[in-house]
Amino acid sequence: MSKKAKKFWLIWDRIGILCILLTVMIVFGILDSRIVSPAQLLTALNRSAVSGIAAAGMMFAICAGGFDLSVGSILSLTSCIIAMQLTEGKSTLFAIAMTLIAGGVCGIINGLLITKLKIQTFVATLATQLAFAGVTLVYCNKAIQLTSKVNSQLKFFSTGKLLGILPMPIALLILAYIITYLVYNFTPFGTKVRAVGSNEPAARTTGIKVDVTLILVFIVTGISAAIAGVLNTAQVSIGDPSLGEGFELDAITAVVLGGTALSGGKGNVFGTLVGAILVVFVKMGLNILGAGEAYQKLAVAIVLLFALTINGIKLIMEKGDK
Amino acid sequence: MEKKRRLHIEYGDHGILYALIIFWIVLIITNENFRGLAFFQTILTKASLNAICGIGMTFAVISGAFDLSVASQVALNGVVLTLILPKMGIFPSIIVILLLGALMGTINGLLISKLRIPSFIATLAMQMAYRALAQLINSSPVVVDNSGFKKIAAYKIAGIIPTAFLICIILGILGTIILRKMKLGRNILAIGNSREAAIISGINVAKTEIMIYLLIGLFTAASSVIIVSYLGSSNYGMQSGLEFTVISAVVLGGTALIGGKGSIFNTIVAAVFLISIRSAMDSFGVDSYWQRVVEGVILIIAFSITEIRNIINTILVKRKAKKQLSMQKASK
Repeated sequence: MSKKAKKFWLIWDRIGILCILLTVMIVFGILDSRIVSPAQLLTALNRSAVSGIAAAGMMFAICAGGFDLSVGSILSLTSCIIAMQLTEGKSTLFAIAMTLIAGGVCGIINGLLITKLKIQTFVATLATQLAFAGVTLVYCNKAIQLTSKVNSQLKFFSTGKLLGILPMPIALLILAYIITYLVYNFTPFGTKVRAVGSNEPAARTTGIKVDVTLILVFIVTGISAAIAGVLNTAQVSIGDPSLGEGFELDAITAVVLGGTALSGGKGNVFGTLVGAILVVFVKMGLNILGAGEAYQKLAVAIVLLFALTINGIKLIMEKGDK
Repeated sequence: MEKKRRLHIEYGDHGILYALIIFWIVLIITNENFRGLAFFQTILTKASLNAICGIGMTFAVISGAFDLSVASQVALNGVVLTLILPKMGIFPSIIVILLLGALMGTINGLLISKLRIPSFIATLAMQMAYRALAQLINSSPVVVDNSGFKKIAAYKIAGIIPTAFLICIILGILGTIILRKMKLGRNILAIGNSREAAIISGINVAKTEIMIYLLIGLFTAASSVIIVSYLGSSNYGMQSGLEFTVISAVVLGGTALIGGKGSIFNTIVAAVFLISIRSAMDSFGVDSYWQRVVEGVILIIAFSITEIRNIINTILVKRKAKKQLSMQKASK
């Protein structure tokens, strides 16, 4: 590959997804200027908080060479837990702590299955997806509407404003990504995740505790799904056992759009955030243009395929046609 | 010792069949609901719907890949089938559906082999796309009003064997012939064992991969014809989550997820096993929510059995090597 091409791909890796987002915004802006108004953009950011936070956790899992298909079920479970606890009159802080613990426990279960029983991440989390969804339904089999009295404190997370300006979901989203960025780039944990993802046997030989790292990764994924669950419950005011159905695909789509390599070892924190926003923005824009749910899904699939195709072209140029 | 090991290996090959037979015997003894012919006919018919799709999926899993789009393929096939059935008649419609399935499979295959998109994510994107297309074509449920077509799944040959199960067995034999006797099957096994080695030995990997997804498309199309015939209706949201049931059956049947080995016969048996468990829980009055938990736990056990078996095998091999070493030392 020529030097110029190499330079192009290097830049593309950093800002490619941002270019796609800007292009989409310009196209939508031409079609209907309402879509790119500041208020709408703020709404898009607000909505992308849930999938964005879960995607941050998912990025660690994919970067470590795995997947977590159980995040949707964890999100439903935590949604039910917080609604149940609040309705029973427990304090908001206690309820949130319970959900985070539940998310962590789910993560530990996933991690133990993957490291100790050596089940592949894909099938292990597929099985726990079923199991967690079942546990959720056993625990709470119908949606719980949160009364306004119960919801007053939780509502702070969805409609509250930090310092009177920044909406809470956006603040949480930014905070989550700052933490993710720092953890991924500047902590031993981040380095270990990348090492395990790019070459597990080599990581093992160099003395990295692969099992502990993987269990931690799934705890991170579980807790981020739990945070997303709390936020989503606050937004819709309902504890719903089916809230997270298909949610894992949203999170994975955001991560993949962001340029995180599915083969593991190479994550992209900023890209993941942009990816999550892009998915929400495409859906919202089409919604304003009057396109139905089916067109929105189709559009997300096309955007995903487009990003993957570019990735494929890059691979072919790098390695030749082998 | 030698005999024990041989027994172990044989048990490993048909383990799922023995498990199914033992499970059935336990059911027949413990619950009188399981004693009628009709009960087994229902189980076999229901299992065939998943198993036919599973035959195609077995090829993908053997090659070390997945196809997550099968459920959406069924939905698109189903929606199109119910639309064209009143206009075209039974046989032309089935042929159109098979062609449609082949087309969808080829698209998946091209994305995966030519654009180097990992199968997981390519089929994930196509899952969304096919489902959306199905919704665009027809967003309201359609009831099939063709008694001849409904008979495909409901008819019982000589009053005993359900047609759906017979079709499943015929397709299973066809799949086994492709896998064991044809060049394509050997190439698929080679790719599953080692992709690099397959490329070096001159196998056309791209072409084989396209063929794998084409086969999945065809088997899924066959499965969707029978599913629509069985349900007597179609809608764009139908059979969501089917891909996971099908992959579970393939893995439960002992096809290694890392690729390289597998058996279509075992996939069919595993599909029957999964449906049997579901029916058993139904008739024992197990809460439908607990059923999901139980299914998840069964899957976890099934997946880790391979690992446990591997551990036992390594211990056996090590012990044998040790014995030989000590014998060599003694003879010296």
